[in-house]
Amino acid sequence: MRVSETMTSDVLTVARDDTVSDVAGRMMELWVGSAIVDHDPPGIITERDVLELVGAGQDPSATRVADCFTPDAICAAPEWSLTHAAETMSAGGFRHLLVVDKERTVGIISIRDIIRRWLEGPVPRTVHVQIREAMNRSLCVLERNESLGRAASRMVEHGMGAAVVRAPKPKAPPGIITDREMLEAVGAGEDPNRERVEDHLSRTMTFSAPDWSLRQAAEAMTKGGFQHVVVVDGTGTLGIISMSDIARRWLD
Amino acid sequence: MTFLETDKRRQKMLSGLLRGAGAAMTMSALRQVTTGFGLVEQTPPDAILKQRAFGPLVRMPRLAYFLARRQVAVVELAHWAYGAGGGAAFALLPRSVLRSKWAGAGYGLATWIVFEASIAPVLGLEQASKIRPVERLMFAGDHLLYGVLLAGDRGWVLPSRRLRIGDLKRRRRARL
Repeated sequence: MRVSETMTSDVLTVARDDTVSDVAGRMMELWVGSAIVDHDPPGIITERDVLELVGAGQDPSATRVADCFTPDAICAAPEWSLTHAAETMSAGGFRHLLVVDKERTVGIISIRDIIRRWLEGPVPRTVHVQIREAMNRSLCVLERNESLGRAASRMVEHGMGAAVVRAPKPKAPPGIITDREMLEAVGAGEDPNRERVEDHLSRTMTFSAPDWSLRQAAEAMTKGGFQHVVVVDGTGTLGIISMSDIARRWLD
Repeated sequence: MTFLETDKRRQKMLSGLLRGAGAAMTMSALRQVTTGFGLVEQTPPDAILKQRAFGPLVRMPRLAYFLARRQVAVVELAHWAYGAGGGAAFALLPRSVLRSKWAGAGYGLATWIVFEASIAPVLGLEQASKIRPVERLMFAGDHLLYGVLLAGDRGWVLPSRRLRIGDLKRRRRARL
């Protein structure tokens, strides 16, 4: 399977002079996690860039895309295999690749696109792999009353795109906040230093036990439209598994 | 169908539910042993939860949270519930089938065959594609045990001879 058969061709293109909050609003409207930045060579801005900006304490409504996008983005060719694209993402620690054909940007491919396509194929080896073998055990745990700015800063420190938010009651399920919720808050023009984590918990999320299959996690994420699953057992929260973790294990 | 017949049918089904649940509990105990010795890797109810239940739970995080934390108990209860359902269905089998002394064993094996041949492939479980012969043998064995325990001497599901009018008439004629 080639990148050209899986990539999204209808992509959002933004200008370097646009403000980050404006771009975040447009990304949320289109429900995409990245946009091409009109630049030579073309760059990319993703929800992770917005998280880092908020974590650094900068004001998204006063910051221009030019100050936070990735100008030297690694690009994929349309004829690349999905495995090659996934390996490149995994090695670089990112979730999107610009697809460039003869110096022209023709689309974006994300880790979610790749996993969705893998799931459509024949049953892969990972069908027998359990979530515990791929999940991230180093958790970033937030209090419910922390500000979004502080939450973003801690998520960046941990190098994670999602954090577990403590439950309001001992036996209640914990919440989760991801870079997508940060993007949503920034896109809505909210001040990250005034907004509380508890008001921006992810509405689309689910839980898993550590011994459920990795394939199930991948299916749940593509079906539910989210990138992280919180892993729990009788003792409490054990970790988080993301699409990138699944892709990494899939490639092993 | 008369009221008496409906009532009897209900009683048989209730007995089937109870006997089925009891047989499934014993089957679970046997599985503890076969799993403990490594003869069975994953039991069918466990496989359904771990391999296929996640999809429907995507929109129900609270239920997913509960299942993920209490899966051992949930899997066991689900197994007993299947067993109880199977017991009720056994009670509804035709009398001609129930009269056979092999009815219980045959029924147990039939439930295993139904799982292997239809449920596992439809759900895309590992059991449909990757299963060791010893595991298959263990599953056949524990279903056989289920069927035998469920049926017992079949006295609970077959009509009592004393109540059969034909028999009474025959006995009366014999006395005369």
